[in-house]
Amino acid sequence: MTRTGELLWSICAILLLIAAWWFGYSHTKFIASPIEVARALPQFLGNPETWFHMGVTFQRLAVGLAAGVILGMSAAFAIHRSPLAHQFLSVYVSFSLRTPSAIAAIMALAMFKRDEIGYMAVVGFITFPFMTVGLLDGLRSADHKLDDVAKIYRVSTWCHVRDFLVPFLAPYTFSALRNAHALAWKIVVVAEIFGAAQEGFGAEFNYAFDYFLLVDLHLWLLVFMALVLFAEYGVLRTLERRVFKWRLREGE
Amino acid sequence: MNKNSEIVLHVEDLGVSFGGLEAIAKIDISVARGEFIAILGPSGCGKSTLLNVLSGLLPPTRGTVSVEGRPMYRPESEAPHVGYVFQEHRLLPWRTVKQNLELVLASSKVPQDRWDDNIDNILETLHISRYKDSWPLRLSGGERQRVSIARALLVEPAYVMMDEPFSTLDELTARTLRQELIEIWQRTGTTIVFVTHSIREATFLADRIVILTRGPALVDDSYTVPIDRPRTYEDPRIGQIEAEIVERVLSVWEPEKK
Repeated sequence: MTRTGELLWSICAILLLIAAWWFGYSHTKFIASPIEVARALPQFLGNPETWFHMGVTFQRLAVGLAAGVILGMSAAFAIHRSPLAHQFLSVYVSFSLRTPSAIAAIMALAMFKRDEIGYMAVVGFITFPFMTVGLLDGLRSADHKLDDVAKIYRVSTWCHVRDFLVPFLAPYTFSALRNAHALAWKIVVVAEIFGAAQEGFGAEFNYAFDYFLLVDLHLWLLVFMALVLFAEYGVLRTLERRVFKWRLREGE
Repeated sequence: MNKNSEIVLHVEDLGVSFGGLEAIAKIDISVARGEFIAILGPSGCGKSTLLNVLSGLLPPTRGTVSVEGRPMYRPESEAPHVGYVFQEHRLLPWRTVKQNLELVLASSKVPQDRWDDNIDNILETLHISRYKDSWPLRLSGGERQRVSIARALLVEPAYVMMDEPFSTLDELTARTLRQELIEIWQRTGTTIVFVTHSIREATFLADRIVILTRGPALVDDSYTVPIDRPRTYEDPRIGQIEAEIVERVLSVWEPEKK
């Protein structure tokens, strides 16, 4: 499909969403008017409070996700290298994968007494097994033919890791990171709502919901989605395209 | 054995077993500097195992391998610099042609100030200069294999091993590459150990053909190709010698049919 075709389909999908929103607004009392939301949007974005709350949530997410990525990758390498680590860490991976996000949020916030670290811990706890599982897939499908090349040409261990292993694992890492990233945004807001946070997206959602501020609720939702999509397509996918520029594009 | 008398590769009483399974029973080969030898053997006879031993990947169960007079696989011995052209190119797809070549140069003894010139020269010789900054996936099979040959030659190896390097290419490309390989070999004087299934390819390329038995491998015969260079595919002597070697090979591979 051409770029224009892709763009047209995306526009159609957005228009359909707006139509569905309008339909919802016309038939229920719990959905704000798209026009009212659009009118309030410039003032909402111009308010420094909005950016402050976005920053708070983003900070919680970034630190938690970074911890999840580091933990997950370390666990994957350990599981791959050592049968003992496999036996030991697999239990944690399995446990974390099967823990409902809301329960994890409540437990973490109870343990950390609603401290900032609690929000970060829950994001790290929920995202780390996704990194482990994704990276383990990569490690298990490692191309040993390229390892032979490294051995025959006497490539140093450091070069082997940097030039062979890391680029080989990059697609698996990006795939796992995209999943973990999408999940992290959801879980951080859940944690903020369950933790009755005073700051952040979740706190503002909660406030708007409690006081039935429908337009505010929709504005926060829109901004939240815009931020997640920007992080996904503006940052992650752009980075991915740069890293994988060596791949053949469609039609090549 | 022709060329000069300096032995680059000496294999003596080589045996390789995996558990109770014998892959190579006994191989003795000597290869002189600048010699082009072809190793012919049926599938599963232990050719790959032999190449793994000669490339430093697999210590033999028995016997010795010496490169330029120095034994391999001793605790005190340094692994020799060898080149290897695989059946598939095995280039790193995430590195450009130049970066692939620089990667192996970094662990060779070639001084860094000569890298650029050496890369330019070898790419020009192989007619792939214009692909210096290209990604391997954007090259054709023949071009990738040319890069793989360049990589093997660049490290100034004691010898280059080639494991059926043209078997996945179309015949026209393979013929061109064989011709170019001979030209490069004559120009550089590199020692080449070439493994192939094709008797015609071995006859066209090699000074000497070593015939292995059906596994476990033994060197059953060694045949010096009595045709001067340059050789052409149209030379009727190639066909005659091919027929002669087929006879020999069949007597080695399928003695019961003789």
